Amino acid sequence: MAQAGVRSLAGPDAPIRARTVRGLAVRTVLRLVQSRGGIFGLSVLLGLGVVAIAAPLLAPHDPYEIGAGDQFESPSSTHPFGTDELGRDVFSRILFGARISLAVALASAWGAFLLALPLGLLAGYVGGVLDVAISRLFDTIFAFPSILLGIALVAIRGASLENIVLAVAVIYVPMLGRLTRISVMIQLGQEYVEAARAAGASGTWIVTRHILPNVLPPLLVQMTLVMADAVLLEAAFSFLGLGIRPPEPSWGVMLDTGRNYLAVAPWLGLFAGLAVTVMILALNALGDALRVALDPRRYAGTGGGATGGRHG
Amino acid sequence: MIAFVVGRLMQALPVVFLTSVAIFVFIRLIPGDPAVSIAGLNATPDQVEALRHRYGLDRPLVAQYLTWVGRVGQGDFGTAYASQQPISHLIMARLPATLELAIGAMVVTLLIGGPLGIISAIRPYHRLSRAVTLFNAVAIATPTFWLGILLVLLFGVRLKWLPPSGYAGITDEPGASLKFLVLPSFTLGIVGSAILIRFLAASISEALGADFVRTAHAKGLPERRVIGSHVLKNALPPVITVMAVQFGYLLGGAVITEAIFGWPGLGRLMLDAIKAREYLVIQGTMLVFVTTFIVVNVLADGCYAVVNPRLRETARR
Repeated sequence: MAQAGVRSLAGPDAPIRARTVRGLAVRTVLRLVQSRGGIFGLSVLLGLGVVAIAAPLLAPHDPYEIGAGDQFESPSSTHPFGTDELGRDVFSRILFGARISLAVALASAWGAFLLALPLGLLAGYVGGVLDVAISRLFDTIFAFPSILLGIALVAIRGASLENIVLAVAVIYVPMLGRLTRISVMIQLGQEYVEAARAAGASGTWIVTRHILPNVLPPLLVQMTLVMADAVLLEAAFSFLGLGIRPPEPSWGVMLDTGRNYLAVAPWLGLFAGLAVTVMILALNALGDALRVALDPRRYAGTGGGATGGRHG
Repeated sequence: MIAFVVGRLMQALPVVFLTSVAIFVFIRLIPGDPAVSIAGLNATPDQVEALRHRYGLDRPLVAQYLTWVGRVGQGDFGTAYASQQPISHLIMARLPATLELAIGAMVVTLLIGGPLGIISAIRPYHRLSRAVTLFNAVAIATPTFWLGILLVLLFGVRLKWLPPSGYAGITDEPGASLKFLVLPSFTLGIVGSAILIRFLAASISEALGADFVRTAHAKGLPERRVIGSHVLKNALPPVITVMAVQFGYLLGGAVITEAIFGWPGLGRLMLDAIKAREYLVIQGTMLVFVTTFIVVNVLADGCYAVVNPRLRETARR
């Protein structure tokens, strides 16, 4: 999205621009794998992505198959994570659950980004009444404790995957929007923007060409946090019976069932919770590593500059 | 200080107004006609119509909103459809449990997070600090409901040290009440302490790098005094704000923990109301949550201004 936006408006020197953005991406990844947190986050998430895509190939059983084993079989070689109250294979269900969690995480982060970016840009760039209106909107959404807002939205629109994604996206619009707004304002105060304006650059040009590339990195970092919270919230909604419904293999649903059979089959809730925790741990680690990798102050130190064409 | 808090409260008023509108509109969007659900399946259309009229559901939305806000201003949240109880009573009945849990969780947060946060900032390369870093990463990633389940499994089901769930009023049976309080408090408090550690450590290490610390060292102050009276004084204000926000969340956001431990707090009240389509109860509890959250934030800013006079100046301008 970032690359596309910059590229399409870049005009005659588009290839160079594209190369620098790609260069930035390559450099960021290179920096990421230099930190332990980055390696951990990336590899776990890649692993989970592979698991999600290849779940039908990897799963030893059909996740919906009732009576794949006996009821409440404890973990064994045939059922590595045991079986649940209907004799379904918990391991297979966990693998398929990764699909739901990753889909919710990716879709919510994109949704929040797509809603927040235009609002934040408008508030920060246009300012005035528009800024006041948008900022109050953010304040209003922000005034709701996030889980309550999510519960209310899901209750209104009905329990479904799409509505969970929408709820999570709306919850995080203020966070991403405020960040966009403040980043835009900081960039607008920079001399290079004045210089561009003096050289006759239009508003669209300044926003897409100069401001966006500087606004996107911090947003990207925040989006990993949104993804982590989306995984958590999906599990939470499903746990409360407001999200994904059984028999879907959502980790939250599995935790909720596990809670009811804690004394007989503790592995039910154990593995589902572990899966949620590992995914969030990886997303947080990636976010932290990304923050360091994208820190503009560090670019300045290496002489690349924020637009960083030289190493491209 | 008072002028500052009043000023901030005035700034918060439009947000309170907007949230009340948002809550009101939200609730109207919930599918299903409340009059139909109150009247029951066997009701005739006339009965439904009569109920609709009785609760004012047939009036224009703006009129309904104004009536609601006007009454809420006088402390009247209306009556619950099913139980016919005043909603203010329902809320007041749940308030002690919610407050008890919020305070319990805060105590755990401060007891774990305070010392560990200070240690990991002052001695970043100590073995304990490395352990704290790991604890933090895991605690932040652990969903509260999973942690709750694990604690119940370990201390409630296996070891049988503590009751797995339930509640007793703190004034009726203080001993039993505290026993019930331990597991939910730790469930919320462990995650809270991870947040506290993160902010406290960041804030302290920033203060440690300041010039006044070097000066304090140079004039020969013992380490203990430097940390105690110079570093902490400067490091605490932002942490207070974060903890106030945390407390605000605890007052409203502990829905999941309440569900796990059968805790009869405000979160449960709202969750049950959503499931039963009790419009007025949802509206009332949400308004209470949001207003509390906003007021707690303003008070936190007030505390901040007490310890950091510079902020008072900027606020006045």
